[in-house]
Amino acid sequence: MADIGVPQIAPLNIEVFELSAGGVSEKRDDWTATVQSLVAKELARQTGYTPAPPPDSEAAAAVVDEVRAVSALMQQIALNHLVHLMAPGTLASGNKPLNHNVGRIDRILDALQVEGLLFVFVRDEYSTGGRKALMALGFLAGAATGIYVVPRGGFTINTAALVSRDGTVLWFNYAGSGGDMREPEGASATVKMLLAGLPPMQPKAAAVGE
Amino acid sequence: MRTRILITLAATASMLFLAGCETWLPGGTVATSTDGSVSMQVPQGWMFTRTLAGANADLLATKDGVLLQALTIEHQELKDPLPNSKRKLTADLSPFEIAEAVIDDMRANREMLNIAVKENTPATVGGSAGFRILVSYDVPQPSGLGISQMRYGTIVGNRLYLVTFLAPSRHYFERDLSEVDAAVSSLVITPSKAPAK
Amino acid sequence: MKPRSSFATGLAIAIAALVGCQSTNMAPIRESTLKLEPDEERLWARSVEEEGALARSGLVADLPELEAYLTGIVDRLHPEPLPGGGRFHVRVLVDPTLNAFAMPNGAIYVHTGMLSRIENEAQIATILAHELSHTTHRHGVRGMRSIKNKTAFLMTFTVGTGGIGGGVLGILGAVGTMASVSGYSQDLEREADMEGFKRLVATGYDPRESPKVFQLLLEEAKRAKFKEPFFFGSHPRLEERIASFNEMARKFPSGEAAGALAAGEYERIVAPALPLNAAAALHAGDFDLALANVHRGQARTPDEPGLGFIAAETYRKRAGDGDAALAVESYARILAQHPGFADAHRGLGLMRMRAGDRAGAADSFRTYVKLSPDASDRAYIEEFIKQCEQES
Repeated sequence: MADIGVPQIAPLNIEVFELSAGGVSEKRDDWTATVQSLVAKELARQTGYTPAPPPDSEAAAAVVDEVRAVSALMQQIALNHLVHLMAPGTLASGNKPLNHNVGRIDRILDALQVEGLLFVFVRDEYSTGGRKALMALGFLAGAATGIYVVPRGGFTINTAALVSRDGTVLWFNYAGSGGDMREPEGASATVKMLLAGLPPMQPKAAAVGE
Repeated sequence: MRTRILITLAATASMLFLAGCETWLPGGTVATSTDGSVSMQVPQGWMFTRTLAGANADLLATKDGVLLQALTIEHQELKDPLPNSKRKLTADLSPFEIAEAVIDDMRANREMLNIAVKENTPATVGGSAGFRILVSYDVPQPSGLGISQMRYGTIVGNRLYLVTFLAPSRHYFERDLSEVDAAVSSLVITPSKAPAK
Repeated sequence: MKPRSSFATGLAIAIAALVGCQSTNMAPIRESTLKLEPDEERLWARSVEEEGALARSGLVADLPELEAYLTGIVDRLHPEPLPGGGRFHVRVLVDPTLNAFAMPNGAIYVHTGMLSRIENEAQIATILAHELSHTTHRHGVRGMRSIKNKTAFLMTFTVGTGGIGGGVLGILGAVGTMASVSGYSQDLEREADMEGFKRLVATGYDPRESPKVFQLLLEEAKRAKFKEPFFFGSHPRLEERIASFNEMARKFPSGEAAGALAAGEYERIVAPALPLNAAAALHAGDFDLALANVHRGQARTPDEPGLGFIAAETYRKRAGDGDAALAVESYARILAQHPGFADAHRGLGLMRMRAGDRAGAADSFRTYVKLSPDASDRAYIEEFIKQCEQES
C-alpha cells in the first residue's frame, strides 16, 4: 500500500433517521449528533488516525468545498458498490474488488498536512415503537391468515474508504449493524466490523539524510 | 428538493436497472437495439443491457457501475415533446437548432443545477449530421455531486437519437471519454428500421 | 387466498390504538418566546438545510432590491419576530411556474413566474400573507403529523388485513417538497387564506385585489392546460377560493397600506425579474409567457436590448406564422442601437440563412465570430460561413 503515514479521519458523513409506523423516515438531529460523536471517538480509538479538524478551523474552512465534493463522490462510490452487490452479474469485474479513485486531493491534504484520508459514510434508521408493534402484528397476522405483510425495519448502510494523495481508494469496506449505534457498545461493535481488513498504519519513511 | 439516497446518476428515470428483469452482457461486441434501428460497439471491459424499463431506452452500458458512469442510447419520436421544455422538434431543423433545443431542455430540467455548456460542436452521429454537447452541472442536494455529460444527437427519419455519457466530473468523466468517443464513432443508425416520416 | 380473519382485524384495531397518533391541534405562533415542539425543531433544522441547498442551486435570483422590497412587505404584514428571534425573509427563485412557498422557519420563496404575472403590491401582499400564515399556523409540523398519522392508520389496516385495501404511500420527505410541490391539505390551505386575509386587511391593503390573484392563477391553469391539481389547487378549488375571497372582501372597506408602492414604482422594482423569467420561460418552451414578460418589460423600457433579444430568440425558435419577420425586425432593432451585441448578429445570421440570403448570413456570422471568438458554438458558425460562401 502507498506510504501515507498517519491518515486523518475526514468529516464524517452520518445521518440517522427515525422510521415511523406508517413508513415516514425523518432525520433525527439528536440521534445524528450522538452517533457522530460516538463513531468519531471509536474511529480515532480503533485506528489511531488523527481526527478531523473542527469545521470552523482555518485549515478545514480553506478546503471545505473540495472536501464536500470529494465526500459526495465517495458517497456515490460507496452506494454504487452496494447497488451492484445487490445485482450480481451487472459488472465485468464480477466479484473482484473494484478500483476506484476520487481524483487527486493534493490541495486538501496539503491544507490538513496529512497524506491520506479515511471517509466514513453512515445512514442508519431506527423504527419507532409503533413501527415495531406493526412488524409484530404483521408476523402474528401472517401466522393467522397465511398472508405475511411485514413492514420493513430500519435499514443500515455503513461504509469506510481510505484515500491517498493521487485519489486512489486504497481500501474500502462496508458493514451492517453491530448494534444500536446510539449506544457506545453498538457504535464500538459497528466500527470494529467496519474497519475489518483496514491495512495497518505505517509511519512515513524518513527522508534521506535525516 | 427531493431527498435522494440511491440513484443520483441515471440518464432518465426509465434507466433504473434495479427492476431485475434486465439481461446484462459483456462488452467488446456490437450491441443492437431491440428494434434493430441502432447499434454500437460497446467497449471491452464494459457491460450493457438492452432490455430497459423505458420504452424509448435502447441501451445502457457501464464499466464501474451505473452510479459512476452511464453510456446510454435513447430515441424520441419527433411527435413527442422534449421531456422538460415540452418543445417539439421537426425533421428540417439543422444540427445547431437541435442542439439548441436540447440545451434549452437541459436548462429547464430541475435535476440539472448550475448547468454550464462547455462545448457545442457539429458532429457526425451514426453517419448523419448531428451535434456534440459537453455540459457540467450539479445534482440536487443533499448529494450535490458534480456531473459532466457528453451528449451526441441527430435526427434520422422521424426520430431524435441521443447518445449520452455521464459520469462524476471528478476523475471518472475524463478517464473514460476516449473510449466513449470511440464507441460513438462506431454508432450505426439504420434509417429503414427507424420509422419513416 | 385465505379469507380475512377476525383475529387479525381485532389485532389491527388493538395495535392501532398502540401505534399512537400525534395531535395536529396546535396553537398558532403568537409570541417569539413560544417553545417549539421536538418534531417542529427538526423541521426547522431541515428548513435551514434546504435553504442552504437552494442557495447553492443556482436558482436563487441575484435581486437584492427586489428581495428587500418583498421582505419589507412581509415585515409590515408580520412585524413580530419568530421563535428564536428570527424573522421572515424572502428570496426570489428563477422559475417560470406560478409558485411561492414558505418553510416552517420563516424562509419564503417566490418564483419569478409568480412575480411576472402579479400586477401590484396588494396582490403580491396577498400571496405573501397566505404564505407567512403557513408558518405562523405551524402547517409544516401539523401537515407532517397528519401524514404520519394517516400512513400509520393505513399501514395498520394493510398489515392487519393481509395487504387488501391498498399499500402504504411513501412519505414525501423533504420540507420544501411538502411546502412547494404537494401543498398542504385543503383545511390548512383554507386556514392560510383566512388568516392571511386578516393580516392583509389589518395592514391596510386593498382586499379587492385578493380575489384577482386567484383569478390570475385560474387563467394560468387554463392557459397552461394543467390537468392535475397544482400547488394552488384544482380549477374547482380555485373557483371556490375566488368566491370566498370576494365574499371576505365585501365585508371590508378598500384600503391602501401606508408605504405601499405606487404602480409605476412597483413596476420598476419588479422589472429585473422579467428578463430572468422570460429567459427561463423560453428554455421551458413557453413562448407565450416569454413574450408576455418581454412586452410587460418593454412597456417601461422599450429599447432594453436584453428584452428585445429574448423576443427575437422566441420568435426564431417558435417559427410560427409571421414569426420570421418579427425575429428579423427584433434583431435589427437591437443592432441599430447596440452593434456590439454578438448574439443578435448570430440570430440575424440564422434568420438570413433560413430566408436564403447567403451573403447577408455570412456577413452576420463573420461579425458574430469577430465579436465572440470564444463562443462555445463557434464551430457551427464557421461551418455556416463556409456553406454560405460556397452557395452564394
